[in-house]
Amino acid sequence: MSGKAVLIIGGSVTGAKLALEQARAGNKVYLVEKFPSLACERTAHNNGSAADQSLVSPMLEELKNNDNIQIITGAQVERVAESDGKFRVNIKQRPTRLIDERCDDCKACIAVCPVNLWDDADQQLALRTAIDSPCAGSGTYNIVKDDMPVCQAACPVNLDIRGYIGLIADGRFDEALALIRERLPFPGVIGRICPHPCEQKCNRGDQDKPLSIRVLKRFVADYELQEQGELKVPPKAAEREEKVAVVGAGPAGLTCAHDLALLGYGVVVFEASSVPGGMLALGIPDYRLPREILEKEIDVVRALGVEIKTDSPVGKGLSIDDLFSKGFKAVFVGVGAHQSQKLGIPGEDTKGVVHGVDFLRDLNLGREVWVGKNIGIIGGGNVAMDAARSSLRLGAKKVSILYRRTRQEMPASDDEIEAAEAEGIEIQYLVAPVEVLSGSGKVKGLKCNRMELGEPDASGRRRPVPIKGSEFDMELDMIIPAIGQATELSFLGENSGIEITKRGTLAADTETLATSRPGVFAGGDAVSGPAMAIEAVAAGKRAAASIDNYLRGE
Amino acid sequence: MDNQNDFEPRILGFCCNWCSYAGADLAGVSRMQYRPNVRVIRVMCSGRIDPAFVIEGFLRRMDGVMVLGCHLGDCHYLTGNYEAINMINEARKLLEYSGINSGRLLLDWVSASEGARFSEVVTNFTEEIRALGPLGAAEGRDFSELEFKLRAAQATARGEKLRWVAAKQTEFMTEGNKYGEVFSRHELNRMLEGVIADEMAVNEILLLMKERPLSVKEMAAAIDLPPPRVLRYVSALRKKGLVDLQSLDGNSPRYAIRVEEEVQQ
Repeated sequence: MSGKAVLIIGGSVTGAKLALEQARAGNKVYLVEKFPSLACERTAHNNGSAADQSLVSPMLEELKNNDNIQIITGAQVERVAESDGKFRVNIKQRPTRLIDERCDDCKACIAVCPVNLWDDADQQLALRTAIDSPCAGSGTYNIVKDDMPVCQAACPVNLDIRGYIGLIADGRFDEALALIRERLPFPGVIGRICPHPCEQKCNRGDQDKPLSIRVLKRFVADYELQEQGELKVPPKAAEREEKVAVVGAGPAGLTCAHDLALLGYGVVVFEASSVPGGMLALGIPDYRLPREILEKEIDVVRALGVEIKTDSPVGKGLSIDDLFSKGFKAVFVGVGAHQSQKLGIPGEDTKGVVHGVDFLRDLNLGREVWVGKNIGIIGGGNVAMDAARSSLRLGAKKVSILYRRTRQEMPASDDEIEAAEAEGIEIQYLVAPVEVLSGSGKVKGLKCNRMELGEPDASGRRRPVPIKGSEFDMELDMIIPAIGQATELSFLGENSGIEITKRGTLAADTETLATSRPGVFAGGDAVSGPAMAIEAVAAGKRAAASIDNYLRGE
Repeated sequence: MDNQNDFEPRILGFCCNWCSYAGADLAGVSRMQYRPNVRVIRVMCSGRIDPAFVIEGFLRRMDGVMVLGCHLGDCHYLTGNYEAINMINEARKLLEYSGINSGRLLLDWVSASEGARFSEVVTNFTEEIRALGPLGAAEGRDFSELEFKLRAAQATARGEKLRWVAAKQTEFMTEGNKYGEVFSRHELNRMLEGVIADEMAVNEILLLMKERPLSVKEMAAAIDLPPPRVLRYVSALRKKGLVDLQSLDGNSPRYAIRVEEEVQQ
């Protein structure tokens, strides 16, 4: 093609005229219109449009017959990327959900359609029906069907929230739980600890308060446990020969094992720690997640025939290669992110500085934990909240959380922050540590800087900048840094053939979760960095589906 | 109140052929005593009772309507009485929207061997209606006022829109819609109520316009709805070609029913 390719967004009269001009000049024109018919087709010709816009029909004729113009209706430009003066454009077109050839334009469907909604094409001044033709002339019919309810779209596993809440409202609790279990094997756990991104999106929140989606899930899970005393084990598909190894018994690994077991595969889970559950067991304190709930739900995975080997770290004695030579046909790596990040300030190795993840792990494993009287927690995530609330429960007199940004940027969930404050924990914002002060080999205090917010950084949050001369000392006898976790990947060894990203996480395909080594899949915190449990569950599900595809040779 | 005591309710009774009508027959053959206020119509199944029949009964100045069918699980057509529950539920909503006490409509089950039960049900229902008083008395409204609403309700019940939703209830609750989404009873009820509210308003607007062309404000005042909502319905009706702009009265446009459509109505 000799001419250029031109994209015109918006099929108004102006847009149509421009399209014709460009096409006459020998360019290939793409005319993208948001609604199912061009806006200029809908222009009412009798109500005072400007003189040069009143005669659109000959123009429309030419527009539709010109081979150089491609009209894309019901579509929106999603992304524009530029390189070397050329643009790459992603356009998303909505299906009309109708077979045009079979429609004889009788309009009977519009007369009987029971669904009324605001007509976007009419600036929401009037109503349209779910099936409608926005332009009487061209007869372009379309059915509006939204993708998913907003809550479901916000959920990493796309739980059918609308469905299960409806069933609960009908009093059909067993069916509600069965519906949840179709996408989520751990309703009791997630129903307690999920930061519920769904509730942030709930439309009811615009009216008053969002629906309590998470707690309703917990309710049906608890109801089953109370009524039946045990959890229902879902039926399995026919047994298959292939065996799959899962490294790490966290939410990602257990979900992957659960789904693969349902598909009939034999699954063995290798867990380095003495208890299964990953961060659910080692990171989350038991006041937030009672251990018997976690154990019961893990028992369901066991009841499906999954073997969970605790105290079996993969690494020195048992490498990924060994797993393959033992006959496992695929491996899922979901080792999580259990290594705490260092503060990088002087005095960090002083006695009395205990990292948040390590502190919680020792506590959750029932080991002897030393707790100071006056504790400073550094960080603003849920680990910081858990460490703060746990140390208060262990007898600390005063607990302060130091966070370098403001409440607005704080990553911990609102419920947790409110609960921490209600328990008497002091949260200091815009404070960052500079140096750990020590005396006779023990922590004595912390030198801090006051901060202010500067320009946004890579994460989109405003970067905190120290205020000059604002240094001050705090008297503390224990410091718990909880500023993030990294993944410990040394167990892979030198020649694992599995790529690692610059961020120190496993590199996996975003869709299939396949790593650079065939047959090895990875997901959860080990790939994404520290994230929500429900995201790990989503990764486990996706990995199980890919492993199934891989083993079937698809 | 002598008047109240003299009041003899007129009750319309629909009985299914296989159970309740036979039950009524048994009550008669056994010479059981029951109130003479009920006029029985035999139908093949309680599931045959369209909400429009119920509305028509009230339009013909019945004080109560009674639908009797087989006990659940005993239906001659297996699921007819389950459908009757949906239908009567819908009819109750229509009555409520029309301003009629939904206690005037009864759905109950009487088997062919329950002659005694039949007489008991009839007697109890007659006494309940007697306590409510003549149609309109319990509602505190004049019959002419109710008649207008009932005619709108009748058009709603006969209309295609409500039938589409009502007929899909069982399917939507069990197999789900075209996209596999299964709905709960409470969601469907909400949808049904939405359609009834919309359709009642639309039919009231159409009934008003049948008399004479009207402006949106006049219509809104007549049916006690906010004018913006009435305008929304009127513009939707215009889009469907049911209503036309007839004239301008100062700044207020007056709308009228499109003539050729009226023939079809």
